[in-house]
Amino acid sequence: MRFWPAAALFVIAAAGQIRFEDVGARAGVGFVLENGAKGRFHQPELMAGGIAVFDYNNDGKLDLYFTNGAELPGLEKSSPKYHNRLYRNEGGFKFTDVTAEAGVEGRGFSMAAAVSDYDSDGYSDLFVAGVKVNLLYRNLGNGRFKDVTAESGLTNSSVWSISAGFFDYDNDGKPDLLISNYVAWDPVTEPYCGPPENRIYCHPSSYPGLPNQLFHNNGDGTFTDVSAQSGIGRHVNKGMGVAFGDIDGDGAMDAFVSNDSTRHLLFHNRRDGTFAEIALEAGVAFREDGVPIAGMGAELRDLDNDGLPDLAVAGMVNDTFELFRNRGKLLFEEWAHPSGLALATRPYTGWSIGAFDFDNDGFKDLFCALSHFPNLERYLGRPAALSNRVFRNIEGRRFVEQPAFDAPEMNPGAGFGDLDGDGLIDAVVSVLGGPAKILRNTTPGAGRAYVIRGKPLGTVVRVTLPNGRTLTNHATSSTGYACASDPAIHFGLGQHEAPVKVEIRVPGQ
Amino acid sequence: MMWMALLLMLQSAPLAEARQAMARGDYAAARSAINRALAASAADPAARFLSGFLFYLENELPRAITELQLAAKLNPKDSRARLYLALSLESAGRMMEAETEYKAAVSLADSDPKGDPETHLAYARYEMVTGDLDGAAELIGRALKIAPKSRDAHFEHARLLLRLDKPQEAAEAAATALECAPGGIPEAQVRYVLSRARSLAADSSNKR
Repeated sequence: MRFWPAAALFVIAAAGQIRFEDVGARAGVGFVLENGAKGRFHQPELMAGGIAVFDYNNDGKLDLYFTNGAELPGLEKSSPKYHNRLYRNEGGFKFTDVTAEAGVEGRGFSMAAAVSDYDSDGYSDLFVAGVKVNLLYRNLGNGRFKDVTAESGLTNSSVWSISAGFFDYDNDGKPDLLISNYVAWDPVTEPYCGPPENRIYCHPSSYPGLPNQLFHNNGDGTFTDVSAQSGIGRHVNKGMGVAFGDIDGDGAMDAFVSNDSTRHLLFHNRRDGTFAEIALEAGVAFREDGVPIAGMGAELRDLDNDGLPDLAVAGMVNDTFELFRNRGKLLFEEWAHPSGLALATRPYTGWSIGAFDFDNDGFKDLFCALSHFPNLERYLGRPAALSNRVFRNIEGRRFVEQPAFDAPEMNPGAGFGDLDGDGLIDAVVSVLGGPAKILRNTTPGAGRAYVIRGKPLGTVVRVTLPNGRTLTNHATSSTGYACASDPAIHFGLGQHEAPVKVEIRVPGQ
Repeated sequence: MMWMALLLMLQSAPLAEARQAMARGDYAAARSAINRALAASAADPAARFLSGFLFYLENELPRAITELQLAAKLNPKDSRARLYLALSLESAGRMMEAETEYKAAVSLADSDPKGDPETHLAYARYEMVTGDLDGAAELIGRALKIAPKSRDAHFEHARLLLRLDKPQEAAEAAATALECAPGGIPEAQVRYVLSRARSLAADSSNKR
């Protein structure tokens, strides 16, 4: 029985700055991200931190799952401190650790979490991507999960998977799985980088890239690797975040994979089981000057309310984050500079990113989990730990940096959802070596929210407000970098009571 | 006179060695040679500049800034020291200080009869980041006057025209860049900007 109605309205006061309060200390979430670092600078240490925000027990309250690292170089969860953790939402920002009873501690060095009800039994399942170990946990519906990796066909024993996301690419009603793979890494041959007295993590150019993978959901609990025939597996890069959206409004979900210091990949769904990689032609393969950035998390969402998903990609300090406006006809234009996001993000290294309307004013804002790489302080001349940031979307024209709201930490992962049912999107952030942040959205004077739940991934909803403005959003659980968020389709209505028109397009219908 | 020439040769030998080492990417050998030059004369502006420049190449921004500030003090007319100081400050996020140094570098470069557009282009890139497109246009215009066949100058012109929503003119500038001799910007970058400009120009023309 779901607590949420299919569509819900929340009444909140008038507009102001976007604010969050970290309530982690009193929320009962004691999760600490452990990357197993022992001064040997193994590359996976840099990349951990996945989160899933999802309702595993269908009680209407969003629960939290954190992926965790492992002992290195053995890649073993040799102690409970390396366990992945599931926290049940008890309401009122109180959470209980239910990892052991749910059976989701994980194996190996885990990276990312992806969520979907892959077997259509009404309960959300979990996929955990990791270094040479991927896991599929089937939700049994009784508070427990079963590791069904082997029988599902999703076993991985050789590659480093770094992000993953479910999307229904063939509109058959069954969510398929895209896995973003990073680099060919072996602890035995880990290169040494930096001067003798100050070892640093190597640049990704020190490692060969890997192709990504697409798995078709057969509907009987198994998946088939269709990477080759779909075209997804033809491109060898250094995959990071994955994002999904119907970029040309043809009713089929397309996929974007950001890449680390190599060009990005945009897979246009040809609607015949294959994809055309069009990042170069579409103008999103590189930064506007043709330089590849250290691409991290990605989001495909409509940021200017023209009905088409735009693209945001987090990057490293001095990269500037990327923002591309979708012009239609599979063509994007550079938007980071004119919108102010390029200058604002230049000092930051961003990891996960989320495009949600945090102040419910009708325009989706950008939340970025930030931290520079450890041990680079000598090079940067500033601390590696950073506070997270929100860039507020002003009328779909520009983005304005909001004041910091949390302590500077190493913040890789960020997942999103309305944790307390007040109509405001909250954030959950993993912290390397410290307690996770539960960021309650306390934005004063936020607008009203309109939320549609329970729709299949890929569902596109367009609402029309009384003033004629239309807002578009779609159902996706894939967020930013290595993270999954609540796939509820959320709209900020401003001061309007309700939309005057709601159009819902379910894929394949 | 002979003694002076010999002294100069002795002083510059380690710097020549450092430059060669930097050219082949052997930064450790370059650092060793620079340290020898500085041990011989800590106030040698050329050695101090190379020291700062090498730190810049190694992304050691705080040390690059310190060394380049010293180099600029030792030779206030060295536009390269001011340019790389500006670049280092910009990379370190010290934007206001970077702007001051860019202005100084451009002013010094303008008085250099040899005419190198790189200083103007670096400042123009900075102006494009901060959003001063008029300032960028003026600097790129000056760079094109100094070196009308500079691929890098035409490339930055193309980027600027794209920012100004003039994709057809941007495509023409990028095409001109490709006709010029190779510069510091890799050809692949020029081709990417040309391709983007052409796509946007075609789209704009269809919309009209």
